[in-house]
Amino acid sequence: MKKANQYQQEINQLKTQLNSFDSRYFEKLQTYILSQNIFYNDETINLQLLSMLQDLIDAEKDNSDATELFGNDPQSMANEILAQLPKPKLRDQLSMSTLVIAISWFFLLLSSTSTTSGIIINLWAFILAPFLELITISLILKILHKSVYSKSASFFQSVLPKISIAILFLLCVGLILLVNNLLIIGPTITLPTPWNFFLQGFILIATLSYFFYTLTKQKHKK
Amino acid sequence: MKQTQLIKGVLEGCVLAIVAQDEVYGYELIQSLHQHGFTTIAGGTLYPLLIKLEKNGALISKVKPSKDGPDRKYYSITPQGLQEFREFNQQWFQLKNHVDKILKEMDDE
Repeated sequence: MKKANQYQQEINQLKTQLNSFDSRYFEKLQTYILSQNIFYNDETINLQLLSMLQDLIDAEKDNSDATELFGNDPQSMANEILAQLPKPKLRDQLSMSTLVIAISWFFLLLSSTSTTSGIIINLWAFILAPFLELITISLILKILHKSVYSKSASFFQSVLPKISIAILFLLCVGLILLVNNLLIIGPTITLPTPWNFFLQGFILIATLSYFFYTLTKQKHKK
Repeated sequence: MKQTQLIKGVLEGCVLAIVAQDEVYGYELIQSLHQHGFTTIAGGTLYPLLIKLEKNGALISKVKPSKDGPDRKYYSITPQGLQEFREFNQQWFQLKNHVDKILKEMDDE
């Protein structure tokens, strides 16, 4: 994960060196490749994108541009690159899924119904919510992926992907709220007081620590 | 017959030949191909080919500092890649001899 982030940061820094046309070309290419599959190994993809970006910067110095370097059909090139990339390993798939589940459970715990005797944990929500979120993320990425190089004829067609993504997001949030807070179905566990406070306090401290750690790390980098 | 079809048939061998001489990064390879007359080759063809050759074990990549300073992804040839290049080299000369013979007969007529 560290190297993937390092490459991503380098990409973000180097992109500013491109002229506007090449920058748009490269950003579309980057979005198209990254949105194909969230389970692809970040490090491999970001390294490939970084090396292509470095080549593009070299090409610009030689008075060339993205179309001359990469060709007129970036979508086909991206598809061929994606076809050659190693298929996502189970480890990478599990790692991404675990992250989504952890974040989901984190917010579910914080938003669980509190009573005088403790917090009520809805078990169905803890199963359904991550599942819904993974599906929503995959669908949003698919829409994004298809929209990058779409030849949209009308204004409506060009705005449709954004509307679809917004609707999907709201639907997902709505369903999770419904299952977790409004329509509690299935088995529940009550985490008794004071254990609910300990858990929520622990989550709060862990979150704040991570936040300040990241902030401090960013400051040191500058 | 379109030139692109002919080029596609020999491009892999030519890439192996260039990388066998010295490790290169993507842009260096494109420039080298252009200098050798393959002016129509774009990154759109080359980048997927490099990934494919690496995936098949003919090339290996390593991130290391470039001559200009920043780290770049360099490709170098593996023993398997060298073997594939030798096979291509042999096949090319055989093919070239056959084609030259036929074309010479056409010229003589």
